[in-house]
Amino acid sequence: MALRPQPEFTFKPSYWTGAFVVNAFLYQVVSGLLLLLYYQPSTSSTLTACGQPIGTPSVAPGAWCSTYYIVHSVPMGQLLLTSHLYGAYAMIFLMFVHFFRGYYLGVYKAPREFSWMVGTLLLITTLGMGFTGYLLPYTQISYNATNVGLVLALRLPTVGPLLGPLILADGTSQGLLSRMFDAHVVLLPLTLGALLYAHIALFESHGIAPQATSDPLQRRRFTEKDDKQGIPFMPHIFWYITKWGLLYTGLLLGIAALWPWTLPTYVGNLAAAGVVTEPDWYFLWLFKFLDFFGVTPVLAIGITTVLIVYVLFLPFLDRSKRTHPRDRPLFIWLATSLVGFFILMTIWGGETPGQQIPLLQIATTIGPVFGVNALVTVLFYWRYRRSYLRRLAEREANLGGLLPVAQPPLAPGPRPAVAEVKAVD
Amino acid sequence: MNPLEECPPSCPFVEARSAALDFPVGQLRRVAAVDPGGDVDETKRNVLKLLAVAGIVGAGAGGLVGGTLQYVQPPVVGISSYPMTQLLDTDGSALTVDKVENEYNVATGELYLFNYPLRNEPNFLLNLAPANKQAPSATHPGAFDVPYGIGANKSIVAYSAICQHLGCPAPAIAYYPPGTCSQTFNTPNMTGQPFYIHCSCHGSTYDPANSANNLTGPAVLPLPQVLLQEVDGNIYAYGEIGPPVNGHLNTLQGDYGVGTTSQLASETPVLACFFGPPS
Repeated sequence: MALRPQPEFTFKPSYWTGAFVVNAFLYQVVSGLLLLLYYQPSTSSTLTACGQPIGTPSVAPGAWCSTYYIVHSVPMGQLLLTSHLYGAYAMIFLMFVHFFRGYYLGVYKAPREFSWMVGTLLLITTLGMGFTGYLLPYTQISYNATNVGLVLALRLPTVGPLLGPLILADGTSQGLLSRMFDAHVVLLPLTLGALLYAHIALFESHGIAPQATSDPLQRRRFTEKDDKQGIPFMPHIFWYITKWGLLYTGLLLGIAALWPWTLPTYVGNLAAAGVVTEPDWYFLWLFKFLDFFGVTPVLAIGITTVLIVYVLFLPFLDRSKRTHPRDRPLFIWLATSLVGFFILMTIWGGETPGQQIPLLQIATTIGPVFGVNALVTVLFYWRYRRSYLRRLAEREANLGGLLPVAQPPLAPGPRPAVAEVKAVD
Repeated sequence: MNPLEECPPSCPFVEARSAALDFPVGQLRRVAAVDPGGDVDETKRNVLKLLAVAGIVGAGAGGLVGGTLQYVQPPVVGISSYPMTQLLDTDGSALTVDKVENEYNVATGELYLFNYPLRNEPNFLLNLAPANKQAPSATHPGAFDVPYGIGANKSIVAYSAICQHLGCPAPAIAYYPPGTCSQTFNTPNMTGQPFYIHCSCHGSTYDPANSANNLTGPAVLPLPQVLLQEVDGNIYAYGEIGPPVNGHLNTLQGDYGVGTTSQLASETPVLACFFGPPS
């Protein structure tokens, strides 16, 4: 897999959103390996003191105790653990930035359909990493949240009973923790690595996706002739990537140092009886969705599956050759509405976790998101089409029939005065 | 007049057949400004820039490496000095010298273990005085005046219950009263001594009447000995001599301290009359 040169216009952050996600992933791997030196995936009580006076047997599970040990006794431990958590959040956030950037700029069109599908699998696997990792500190909050997720998975019609023994092992809490630990530390990282290799190999073979355009004839694949004009990988692109990597690490450690994370209490602690069950922020939208009137776990999973299938097969749904957002109003409307929907649901889930929402309130809250977006999109598209059609007609008049547009030829000469909005490019 | 030349850059159409084969890339600009007359020497400023960046990156890298090195060395669990620990009997009452002299002797088959100075360092409590409180002889094997022994006849001693070979703990390593195995040893204490501490894992043997020195291999180090003291008739442990307890770099590190009291626990020994090569 050769690391090909890139044209100069690509040295902007917008073209490197994927590299940011890889940056985050690499930091997670390194910090995770260091955490592995001290973490113990055990649900049985330990004899080491973790918050109790020295000498008294601990009643906290070993997993929580070892995390407590990392936070309170190991030098730099709290910084490392906090940076690992915030790094996970950053990775998921950057991944969505990368995803939406690609969606908006139509990078998934030919020849990059397969790369897009591999990317969708990467998205699902990364969310899986977040889900499995969340249980490892074995706090009461994370245990409750994991249970909600498991109940959802187990209630799936045919897949649920098959998944059950795989995830729950012998049914004990230790069995579950061991499997989650195995998934988080070995299975999912290996999957991520393999998928990442495929994703990057495909990227190297096609070259970077060129700028979004309304030109249906745009050439979308780099050739060796283009590579000759590009900036070589060594040393320029390598230093560019290193620069971003250092910036990311520095920012992450700085934020982790300023806002260190404290460990909530452990599973089985009676003082945790009043703890509210809620998942990490990236699942809050689904959590809130379950609170909607009439939404059963199966329906929620069904709609999530529809979303995933839509994203996965998007390259085959959006068949036009034009990549510019203005030429794809339906898909842009859908994406912007979904972004609004996810943000709204996340905030809503954080504010009112577990509270049932009646049908009318759902319609009046979610409806406007889709409705306002539809209105704005339609307005922009209408304006674009008017100026586009007008310029198309003028070009048609000047080029004398070169392009297959069925329009009556306008008379050459001064352009007719128009009272509407100026043409916008 | 070519109408295509009037097409502004924002024109959404392809301009010409050949243009369709080119990417809309701008002119490739040189990264470094082309120096027209060579009037500005950029060497010094480039060196300063390099030093600044190298300094910042170096400081950052140094911080990361230093932080990681600190992270992988956790604080050692242990105590700083040997505590004064009172021994308690199996029922929790204070262990007295009288009780040990009356109830335990060289023939006691059950193991009595206590932890000292850390919670994971078990030790044998032994009374090597002959049964029936007679003086040691060929017919009544036993030992008086054992090094660091306490009691009227200095026969009460304590040794580590973790074998110095590969770390087998009690009851694999056990005290063997006279007659358990037919094997006897000629020791400084007596000829044909029939009692010893022996490990059934690989056959190491130690002489409890003589500082737990090796009688057979494969162990090459003696067992550490716990120093006992009599205070108002009660037995206290106050120190330990000899090599470090097996499995610990330092007898005082590797677990939490046992505190001011340590209770005896009884265990049934695992016996095997298989001995290693002579020491």
